[in-house]
Formats: sequence, structure tokens, C-alpha cells
Amino acid sequence: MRALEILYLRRVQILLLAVALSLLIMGVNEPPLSLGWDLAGGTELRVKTEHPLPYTAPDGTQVTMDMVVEILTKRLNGLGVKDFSISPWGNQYLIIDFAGMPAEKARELVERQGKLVVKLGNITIFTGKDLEKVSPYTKSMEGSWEVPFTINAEAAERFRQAALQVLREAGIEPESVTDFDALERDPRIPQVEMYLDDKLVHSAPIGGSLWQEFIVSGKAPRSLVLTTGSRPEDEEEAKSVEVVLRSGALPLKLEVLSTSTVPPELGMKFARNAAIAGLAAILTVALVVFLRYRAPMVVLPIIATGVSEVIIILGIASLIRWDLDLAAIAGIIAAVGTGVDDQIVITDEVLFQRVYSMRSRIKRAFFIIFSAWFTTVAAMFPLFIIGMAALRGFALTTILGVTVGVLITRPAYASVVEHLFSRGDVKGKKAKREKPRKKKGARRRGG
Amino acid sequence: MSKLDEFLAADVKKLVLLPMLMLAAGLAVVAITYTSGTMPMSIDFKGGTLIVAPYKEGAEEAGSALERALGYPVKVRVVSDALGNREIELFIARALTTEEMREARAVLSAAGIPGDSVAIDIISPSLGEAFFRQAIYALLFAFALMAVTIFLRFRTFVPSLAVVLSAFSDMVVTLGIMALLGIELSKGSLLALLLLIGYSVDTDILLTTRVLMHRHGSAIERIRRAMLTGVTMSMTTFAAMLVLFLVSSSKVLDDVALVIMIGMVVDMINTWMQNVAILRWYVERRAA
Repeated sequence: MRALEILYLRRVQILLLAVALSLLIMGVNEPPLSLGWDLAGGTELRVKTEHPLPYTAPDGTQVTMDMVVEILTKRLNGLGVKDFSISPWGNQYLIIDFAGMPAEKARELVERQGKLVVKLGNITIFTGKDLEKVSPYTKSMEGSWEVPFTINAEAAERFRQAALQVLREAGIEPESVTDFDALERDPRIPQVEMYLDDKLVHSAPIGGSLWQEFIVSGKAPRSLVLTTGSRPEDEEEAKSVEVVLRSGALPLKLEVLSTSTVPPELGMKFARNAAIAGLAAILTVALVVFLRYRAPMVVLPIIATGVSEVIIILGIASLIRWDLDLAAIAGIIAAVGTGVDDQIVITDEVLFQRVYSMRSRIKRAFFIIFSAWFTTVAAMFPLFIIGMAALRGFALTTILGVTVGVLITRPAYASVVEHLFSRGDVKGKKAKREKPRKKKGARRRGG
Repeated sequence: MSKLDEFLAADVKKLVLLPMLMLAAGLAVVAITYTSGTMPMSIDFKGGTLIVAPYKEGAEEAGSALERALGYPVKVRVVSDALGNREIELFIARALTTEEMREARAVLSAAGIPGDSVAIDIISPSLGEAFFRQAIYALLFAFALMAVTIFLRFRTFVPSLAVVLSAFSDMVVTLGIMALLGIELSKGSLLALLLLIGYSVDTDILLTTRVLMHRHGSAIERIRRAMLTGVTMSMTTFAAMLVLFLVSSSKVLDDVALVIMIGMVVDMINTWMQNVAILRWYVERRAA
């Protein structure tokens, strides 16, 4: 029954509480853990901006990293891309992760600058800058799909002048027009063309009612409506026009420097294999520890502590919504490996240094453990600061893991070993009997 | 005296001989391969394209088909893991464009490898170079911070230096062995080298603490006890990494595991010969 008494140790209770909380967090969060693009399947792009940011464009606008991130975010949202994350790195790089998107598409989405030019004939009537508002696409009362938008006054007037000019060039005097709807179908009159990054993406004729306003009332309306038609595929067209209008131009070019893509099946295989490897590694470590100590009383706590450490790290990852990727898994393995090493140090101090008092043995063990913790954090810190994407995740999980270790799991393991094996001492020496009860306060401080 | 005690009590100069030779050879290999540009590096650091696909009978054909379609040389390698999964890796020394990537998928599909089942990694040489610089900085800063931590912690010059030297030697010799075995410097092996700093220092801290701060028993006895603990630590790490290497099918995890295994062996030699010798010399001189 002595084994069950460990449940009354305060540090063990703290450990159990941490494990319970972690399980609770993972149970409540949906999904419990978010997997990175290389495990869930997806694409990661590393992108360089044309100039280091912030940058002052030739026309005087100040371009910042926040601005670039915002425009890209809007554009991707507009295209209905669901799971993506954009993280700036330094002053000229962006790391963009997409869940479940093929590389080619991701690359095209990011690479295009989104420079919008709308022309009538060869006259530019407005560009992305003149757009004031774009409303969501809707179905009109006549059943056709349309995108309402608003342009500024100068652009509106430019549009009217251009319309009248093309009309005259087609040999039609504006004053003589009576059937405005016929103008809409007149092949001599050019259509309004929408160019995105110098590529024609959509064209439409000027509608009869707009001609009427241009000619009869002589007004240049700022609120316009773009109609695509009433067929089902016209809905898609309306949607893409809306996105084109909305996406907005990036003030500078982006260059995709690296593209990494993992199909979901392969990612799942990586994740599954890593999980199997983790389990097999724990069993192997248990075997090595057993060969050394030949005592289940040592092996079980070491393994239990290692497993709780994994659960707590995952719980924290779930809490802060950290994307687990392959590098993060390597970090968890590293942290748990360090944990096992530390537990071996504690065990050997407690079991084989009996010439010292229990208090002093634990203190010595923790001097070693804290020194090792300091150096691991010191070794990972630079990578956390300068590392890009995955490398940063690795550094973070490792630092997180070893810190959870020294604060929660090592102290718990030390109390367990102390409790189990200081009673073992008692057989020979009655004098040490009091020890287990008054060890408080001396246990954790390492130096 | 047991065989082990005899070994640990051997002449200090004899003990440091092997580690020193190892360090010298490691430095030479790293210097030569680095300056001559023959140090094996993955596309993470030199740029290029790596395509990984599940292996199917005759998939090697895809390599030559790809070569014909793109007009660049393609290197083909088949890898397998302990769970029986096999993968084919196609390596191209250039960063493919979006159109070339589409074409590559089409060629692979025609060769029986569905285009959407492949993992593709494309890195431009300029980014690879930036990564390499970043890796070097990370390693140097990590090492420097570790050294400062050790000196602050022990506050004695010679023992601290011994720990730092052992970690340095671990890193250089491991890099040298990697170069000789053709193991690429990659994202994974960089992570492993950083971890190695931590693992390497752990056993040295243990040894130093036991020898300098414990009072019972002779120095040799304290070293022997520390060695029992330290070797158990290294063995558990080695065993865990061996399993990871055998089971995992991801290149990042494989690289991490392989490099740490090499590092653990190097570290055992450095800790239990070189560091033991330096500490013994220090303790004996202090006692005299």
C-alpha cells in the first residue's frame, strides 16, 4: 500500500492536477490539437518582399509589413481560403501556411500582385485605388448575379467621358440615341474590360440604364453594378469578380522563395509513424532503465512521469493553439529525453549516495538538473529568436518541455522516489525514520 | 581495482590522446569539406527541389521521364523504414517554377505515381543561403550562451572549460563524421546539433558536480559512480533515437535521430576520457 501513499504527496498532486487540466483543455478544445501543414497536409510558402519594410513607395505611400499581411489576409479570405496563417519574419520575409491546398494554387494566389485596371477601349477608367466600396455579390430581382460597387467621383466622371467618346468613335451621336438597350448589344461599342496583373479576367458591356444616365441626365453615377448573368456558372463568375475587386493591390511585388507541400495522406503517415515511434521509444527507454535498475518501482514512475510530461506539453500546445508540426514533435521527444536523463540523475542520487542525507541528495540532484535546464534553454534561445517558422516551433516546444519538467514533473518524481526509497533506508537505520515527514521546503531548490 | 577503475585512473595524457586526435581529425574534415564546398548539404541550405512519393514497382522510371521532360538531371533514391513503407526521392538541383511543378506532377502521374500523392519541397538558392547563415548564427549563439551559463554555474575556470571543450568537440567531431558518412546538413540535423549541445553538457555537468561537490570516496570512485549514471543517460537517449530512426518515415525526424546517435557515441568518448582526464588533473593539482 506504500505505493498508493504517493498520491498524498503535494508535488504528485500538482503533477496530477496539471495532467488533468491538460486533458480537460484538449477535451474542450475542438480540435484538441491543431496539426501543422506538414502533418495535416498542406503547403508552406516562404515569401520575400521586393523591398525591406517599411518602405516608401515612389508615390509616397508608406508600405509596412502589417499592411502587406492585411492585404494578403483580405485577399485569401475573399477567395474563401479557410485555414491559413501568415507570419512575418524579419523585415523582408513572410511565412504563409495553408492547410490542405496544393502548392501551385497557393503560389499563384500569393504571387499575383492584384493590380486591378478597368478599361473601356484603350482608356483606363479606374484602378483598384479608385474603388471605394465593394458589396457582396447578390441575385438581382430579375434573377441575375451581380456585384454592386462604388467608385470615387473623378473615376465616375472619367467613366462617363470615356463612354461618350467610344460612342462617338463608333459613329453614334449621343443626342440621337433613343433605344439605350440596343447600345448594350451594339458590337461597334467596346466592352468594359477588367485586368488583373495585366491579364484580362472579365469583360461586360455597358448596360442600357447606365447609358441612359450618361446621356440623358448627364450624371456620372458612382454606384455601379456589375452583372454576370443568371446561369448557375454566373454565380461563380460574380464571386470571382467580387474577389478581384476586393482583393486590392499589393504595393510591392512578392517573390516566392520556397514552396513545401505535403499531401494529407503522407502527412497523416508522418503523424502516425511519429506517434508509433514515440510509443516504441518510451517502451525501449523503459527496457533500458529496467536493465539498469531491475526494479519496477523505478521503471514505472520514470515512464509515468515521461508520459505525463507529454500530456502536459500537448495540453499547453492545445491551450495556446500552437500548430504541431514535425519539428515540434522532435522538440517534444527531445524534452522527454532530457526528462528521462534527469530522472536517472535523481534516482542515482537517492539510491546510491546514501552516505548523504536525503535532503542533501535531492539538493545535489537538482543542482545538476537546473544546470542542465539553464544550458538547454540557453542553447535553444537563439533559435527561438532568429529561427524561421518550424525551427522556432522546435525551440519553443523544447524550452516549454524542459521548463514543465523542472517545475512540475521532476519535483513530483523526486518526491515519489524519496518517499519510496527513504522508507527503504529505514530497515537498517531507525534514526532516519522521521525524514519522510519533514522534508518539506528542502526538496526543490537546486542551487 | 576493477578494469574500469584502472581505465579511469590511467595516465591523464593517455586518456586525452584519443579525444584530442578525434577533435583534430574532426576539425580537419570540417575545414576541408567546408572550404572545398564538398560538405553534404540538403536543399534546405543550398536550394533545389526534392520530390518524395510513395514507392511503386518501377517508380525509378519516373526519374528518367522527369529528366527528359524538364531537361535537368534528376537523382533518384529509394528509402524504406522499419514499418515496411518505401518511398522514392527525386532530387533536382534547381528550384522548379510553378509551371515546371505542374509538369513534374503530370510526368509522375504518367509514370504511375499519382501527382497529388507526392510531397514537393522547392527552395531557392538565395533562401538556402539565408538559412545557412541563420543556422550558423543559431549554433554560434547557442554555444556562446551555453558556455556563459556553464561558467556562471560552476565559477571555476578549468572544470567549466572542460565542459565547454567537450561540447565543442562533440559538435565538431559529429559534423566531421556526418561529412565522412555523407549525412547531409539539413533542417533536421541542425536541430540535432543544437540538441546535442544540451545532451552533451548534461553528462559533463553530472560528472563535474559529482567530482567537485561530493566529498565521500576517492575521486576515481566518484567518477565511476558518475559514469554509471551518465552512461545510463546516454544509453536511454541512444535507444530512443534508434527506435525513432527505425520507425519514423519523415526525413526531418530521421536526420535528428541519426545525428544524435552519432553525437551520443562521440560524447561518451569525450566525457569519460577527456573530461575525466582534465578533472582528475585539476583535482590532483588542487590537492597537491
